[in-house]
Amino acid sequence: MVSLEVKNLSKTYNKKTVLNNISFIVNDGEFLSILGPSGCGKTTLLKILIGIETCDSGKIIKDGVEINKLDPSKRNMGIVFQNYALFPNMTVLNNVMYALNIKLKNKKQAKEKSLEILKMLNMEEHINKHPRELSGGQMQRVAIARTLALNPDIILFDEALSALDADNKLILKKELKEIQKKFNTTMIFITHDQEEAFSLSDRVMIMKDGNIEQIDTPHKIFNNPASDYVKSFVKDHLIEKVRSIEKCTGIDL
Amino acid sequence: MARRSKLNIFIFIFLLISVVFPLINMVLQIDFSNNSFQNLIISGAFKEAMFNSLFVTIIGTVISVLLAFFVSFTLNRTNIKHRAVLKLLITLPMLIPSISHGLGLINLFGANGIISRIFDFNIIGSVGIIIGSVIYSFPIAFLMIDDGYNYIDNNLYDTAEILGLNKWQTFRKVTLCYLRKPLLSSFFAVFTMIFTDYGVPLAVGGKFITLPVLLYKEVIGLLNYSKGTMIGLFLLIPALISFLFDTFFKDYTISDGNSKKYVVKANKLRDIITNIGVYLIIIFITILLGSFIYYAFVNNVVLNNTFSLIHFNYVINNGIDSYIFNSLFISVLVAIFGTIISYFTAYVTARVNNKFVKILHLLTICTLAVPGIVLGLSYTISFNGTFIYNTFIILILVNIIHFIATPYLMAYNALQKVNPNYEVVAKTCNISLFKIIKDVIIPCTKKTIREMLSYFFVNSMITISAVTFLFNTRTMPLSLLINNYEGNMMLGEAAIISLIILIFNVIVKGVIYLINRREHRMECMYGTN
Amino acid sequence: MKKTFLLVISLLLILVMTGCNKKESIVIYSAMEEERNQALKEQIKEKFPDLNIVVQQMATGNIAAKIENEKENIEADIVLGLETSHMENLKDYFADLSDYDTDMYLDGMITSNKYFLWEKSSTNLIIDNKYFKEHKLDVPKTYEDLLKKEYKNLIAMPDPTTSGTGYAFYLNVVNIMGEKDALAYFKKLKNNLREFTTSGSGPTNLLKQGEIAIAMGMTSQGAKDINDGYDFKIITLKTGAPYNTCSSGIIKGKENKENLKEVFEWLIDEANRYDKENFMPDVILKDQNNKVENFPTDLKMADMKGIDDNKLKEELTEKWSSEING
Repeated sequence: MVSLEVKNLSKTYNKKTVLNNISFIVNDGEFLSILGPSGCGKTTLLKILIGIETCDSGKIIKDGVEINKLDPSKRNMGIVFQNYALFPNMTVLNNVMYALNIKLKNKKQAKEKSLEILKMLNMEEHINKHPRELSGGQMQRVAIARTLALNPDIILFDEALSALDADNKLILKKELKEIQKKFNTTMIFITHDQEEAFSLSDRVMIMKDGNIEQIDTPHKIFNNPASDYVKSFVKDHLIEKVRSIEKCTGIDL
Repeated sequence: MARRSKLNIFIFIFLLISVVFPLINMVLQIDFSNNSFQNLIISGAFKEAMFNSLFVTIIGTVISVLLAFFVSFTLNRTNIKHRAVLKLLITLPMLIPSISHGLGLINLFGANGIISRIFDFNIIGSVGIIIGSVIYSFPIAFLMIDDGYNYIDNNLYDTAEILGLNKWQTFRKVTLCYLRKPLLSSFFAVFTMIFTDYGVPLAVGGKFITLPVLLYKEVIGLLNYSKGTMIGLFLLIPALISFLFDTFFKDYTISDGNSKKYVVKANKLRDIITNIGVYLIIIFITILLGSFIYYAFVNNVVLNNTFSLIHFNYVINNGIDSYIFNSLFISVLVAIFGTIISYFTAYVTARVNNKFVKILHLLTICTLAVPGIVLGLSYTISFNGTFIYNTFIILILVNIIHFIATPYLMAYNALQKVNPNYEVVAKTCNISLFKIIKDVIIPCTKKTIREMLSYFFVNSMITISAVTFLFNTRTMPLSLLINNYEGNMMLGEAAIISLIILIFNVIVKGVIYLINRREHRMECMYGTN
Repeated sequence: MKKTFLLVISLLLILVMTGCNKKESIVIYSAMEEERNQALKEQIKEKFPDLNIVVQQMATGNIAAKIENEKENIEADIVLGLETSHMENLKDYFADLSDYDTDMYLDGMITSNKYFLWEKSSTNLIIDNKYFKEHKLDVPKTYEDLLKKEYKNLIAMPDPTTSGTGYAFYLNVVNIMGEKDALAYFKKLKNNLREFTTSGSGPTNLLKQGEIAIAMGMTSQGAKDINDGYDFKIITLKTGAPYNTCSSGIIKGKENKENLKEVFEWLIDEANRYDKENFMPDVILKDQNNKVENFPTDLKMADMKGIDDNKLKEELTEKWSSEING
């Protein structure tokens, strides 16, 4: 079942083509990484998908419905940022509850659900703390919890792990995979980090200068790079790194 | 998006009516025939005033901003004790009208001044103007820079240490990077302030005439609105430069307010030097204010140096209660409405980036360069006969516009640094813009909001320039009483009124200090990571 | 949201209402010094205990600017002691006073049916006697004397563009030396004096503070200061004492206000007399009985030709503004 389909999407900024007639599909429950250097158009793509930016031409179809003109709040998508964007004046619990409370209009239900999600993310000890008291990894968990609470069909991650140190990154990557399995949420992961993309994803979409170079599973990209550019992403030592991650986390990539 | 553009338009119309319309009306006063503009520029009087103005303003601004930076550095980066109390003392000069500073300076440093008599010099003239201008302007620059320290991401200091940067490099690459914008904004704000003030030069300038004094004389004395407005146009130039600078100088620093508290490292030498410096400044300010308390309770400064309540009684018996009510009423409403308007205007201009909001930004900053007296006059001309004339409304409005630029810039700097993704979160979660502003953005910036409120209140209490044409017998505020008394050489009474104003302002600032302290204590209780 | 909206509206209403609160009152704008206003207020309380009369002090320039701006919308009903040249310039905004009795005035004092003379204020040099004795200075006798080096930074004069007192000196010098030489003279004087003060009482204020030793100011103020115990002396220059005049009138449209006629009649008669005899002894009324001690009798008046000519004033002050710029 197709969750999201992008057809012939184009966008120009100040006479520069940021997205060049791209098309791709995201499958239901899939973890797709969009990988590329800065300026390749991935951030713009994210903004268009979530609805805070419009495209010049093309279509975005979610669950069979064209959502180009749909308000962001109606797309049922969540977003997690690199800098967490947690509300500093609220506790962890209230951060997660805030939007949910408005949606459900029932404080008790909202609280219960928020607690449940925070527990799943191992944050129940910290529910009364404020973000300034948390580590980077903890903050990112809260950010994820906040999004999950609203039951989005798709969660977009905007360089979400880039601000974390290596240890925390590893832990969170593991947790992300677990969440994905548990909630069966489709996840679109924007990053410039090859390791992140290849270790987490079901498929990886490599972008360059507004074009999709290749979109495929990590293994297929390794074995059959579609262009010289993609080849540069495939390095021997990368394969080894992927293998060592498999060993440490026990996840079969 | 709809909500936000409604807000844009509302603010734009408000600024049009309250800033553009009166100013244009004023400009229409100019008589462009008879080469009057050329005659003005080439006249000796104008050239002299222009040179004088630039001279004292440049020197005064440099000293003022350096002083402000020195003090805010000391308060934020050394182990000085009683920070909040010191901060209050440093900002005391802001709590009384400039004319009171003039009195204090003359009393200490005039030809017959207490200190001048000992050291045989006096500061009447350019020196007096510079000192007086620095005294009332540096606290404002201090507040802007000090506020900037609140939004530095302190995690970067750890990063710098890890990277092996020395103190100077760290200062340059971290602190200065974040403070660059507030420093430069305050430079322009102070420059404009000193360039357009007539209070201090009038009191201590002697024959050293500056442009605003020239304007004052043209308007008050000769009723020459045309010439006065032409001079006023020159006084608008700093604002334009300020705007151009602000537009081209981008600030790339963002923090989400989650960064930890700064821990000051021990350094005895640094502490001793800086602490002495700050205490010296405070002593100077205290002596200045003290000399003027002296005037209030002494029978007659030259003839009869004994303690007396004669001035106090005179003031009490002359309807002081209605003047106090007027001042408080105006100042409170100016604080509330002024803060709301400037905050939301800053929200619009700081969080969006397009040509339209640049116009809003320009309009708001422009007000900083319009001398109070020109603003007041433009209002008299433009709103004469309307329903707001001769009521409190026009006084409240003119004060809001007169003082809006600084709080606006405070909010602007603060809001630019608030995480830009909150709105995206709101949009995706179906939370209305006003709700996210109310629940997240305002709480993130509440310290700045408090500073804005107190800035509006205090300045409304002390202002004499914009309101001088707009009041009537029913709405006359306390501050204008000082002019009356001073003009009549009733210095004791003028001093009493200044003290009353000072007391109210101290109360307001004190309350805000207590709130800030309580908040700080509560944050400390939770500890840091 | 609704609650806040209602709150705002009610606040606005209060604002409008408070401002427009119209208790039937008579508003007098007075350019006199505070002390004279205070005396006037006390007399008003005694004479008209049931009426609400407000005396608002305002600088002469401010009053004129307000009238020019607000015209008949101005809140003032009566204007007291405005410089005559301003009055003449703004006379279209004043009511006709032909019906009022002006018998109490000396002949020649009333020159218009739109305003009545309120005071003729003579000016002189007022010197700090103590300072002069201590520093063994000679007393100046002429305008040229004021340029002497020994008086550097010890003199203050009101600015002719903002003060009627200052203008009196200026016009006198113009009448003596001619316009061109007068301007040259004042350029030299500017170098020698401390400052040109905005208000007419500025120089005497500075004198009282011990900031200067020679004030070019109002004779009446000098006399008052001597009576208050200051060791000052009033010096009349060889060319005589310059003077300026101030007048009073009723704003057009307000003349039929209730009680106004009675109040104005009293003002130009009893209040006038009291004010002149106790504060401003320059003679304008018949049988004026001066009670101010130390006020010089038989002052020689200087040449003040053109003092009420507003066009001349505009020209001269324009020249001052461009060339002297005090």
